[in-house]
Amino acid sequence: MARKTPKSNNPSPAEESPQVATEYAEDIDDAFEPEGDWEAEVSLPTEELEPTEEEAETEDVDDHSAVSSDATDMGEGEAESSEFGEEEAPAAVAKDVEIEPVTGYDESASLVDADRERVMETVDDERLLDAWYADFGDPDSAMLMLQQPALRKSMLEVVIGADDRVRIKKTTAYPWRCICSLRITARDGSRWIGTGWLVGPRTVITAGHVVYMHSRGGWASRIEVIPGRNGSTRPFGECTARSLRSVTGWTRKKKRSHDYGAIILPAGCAFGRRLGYFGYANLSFTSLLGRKVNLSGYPGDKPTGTQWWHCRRIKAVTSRTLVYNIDTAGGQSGSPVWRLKRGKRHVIGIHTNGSSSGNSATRIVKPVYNNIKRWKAEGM
Amino acid sequence: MGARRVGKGEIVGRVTDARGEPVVGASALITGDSPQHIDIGAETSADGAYRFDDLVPGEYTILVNAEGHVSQTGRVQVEAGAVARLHISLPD
Repeated sequence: MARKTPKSNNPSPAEESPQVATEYAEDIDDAFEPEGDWEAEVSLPTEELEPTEEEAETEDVDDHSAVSSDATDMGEGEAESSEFGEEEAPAAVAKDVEIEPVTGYDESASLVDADRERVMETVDDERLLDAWYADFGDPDSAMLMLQQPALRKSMLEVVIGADDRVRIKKTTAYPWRCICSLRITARDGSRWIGTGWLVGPRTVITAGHVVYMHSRGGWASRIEVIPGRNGSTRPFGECTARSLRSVTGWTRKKKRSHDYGAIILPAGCAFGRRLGYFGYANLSFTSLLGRKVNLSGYPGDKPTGTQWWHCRRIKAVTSRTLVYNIDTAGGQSGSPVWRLKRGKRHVIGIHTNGSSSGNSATRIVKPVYNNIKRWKAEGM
Repeated sequence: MGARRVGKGEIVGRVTDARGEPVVGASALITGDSPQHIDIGAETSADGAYRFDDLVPGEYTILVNAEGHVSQTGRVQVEAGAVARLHISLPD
């Protein structure tokens, strides 16, 4: 069920324009039928980050226009569902924690964050700023960072320290079973590995570069989707999909900020109906910055097909991306970045990039939220 | 095959075993100590080849992981408009 503040009721693409004016309102689509005090939570006053004038001018309202690998037009979809799934429900979270209760994770490792900050005090700020700017290349975001000392400090941290990812061994439990290993065959025949996550019965969200590879012929030829894969074990089987979605900002312009897409599974592969699926949310800047978030996926540097989880705080929030020191590796493109709050899980970013200056996700802002909602409806 | 983007470079390579035979289906990926890159992993082709393109110039580390072999890494410098080559041999 979708909730919005302060706007409401499924705007048409035309009504969404200009998108920059409203995208920082919070939107939440639950995986569960809400029982708690969500209304109180989403009605909290927030300090919204207004886009700069330059950003508003340069943003092309068509960049979030959904495009499909299918020859036919996409339908309008069906009503949203609050179905959770036919498998056992997840165990209730005993207390209000932000990170998943994963066995084997040493939470004291978060102290490393403090160590990183101390380390950074001795590093040349300007050099790192240049590196960050070179990586993210967004003048508006960079200017915003410069204007806000707290943000600038967080921006200047780099990923250092030990790899303390934890392997998920019980991938048949929620939410791990909703995370899918992807084996991609590009149009030119090359093969790749990635990650996606169930957002509905037949809809898997992932990175745009997983479904559409510019230098490899465009739309992938096929993607094998394996939910809850655990090494050589495929507890729920697999399904091959060819119906893919992304947006013109990615397929035509290759904008890093528009790097997201979806896989619509065939009719006989309604994994989400049985396994459940993630909720997702468009949260405000202040709700995101500093929040501890979870990320789990299928990295290629670990034994084949094994799922690995990690968590850290969000270090920087730009108008289109989230930056964090969560450890990732190639193969985790498309992984969900989610918050756990009051026992509810909402994906707030789609992991896309690794970098020595911080890993990052495409942030779920309003146009992204709207497209996920649309693609979810297509796969109901 | 798309044209190389201005200011970007490529890494191409081949993965072989201790006998020099191509390793098919190995995972090849760019590690986190490299400049910004998409976090997708490549699987080596029938001749053990892999390729990453659209890379910002800088020094990259490639890690190759294959069942039955010890993982290996290699470092390579990517220049704008150029193709860097990095062949990796996996011990048994």
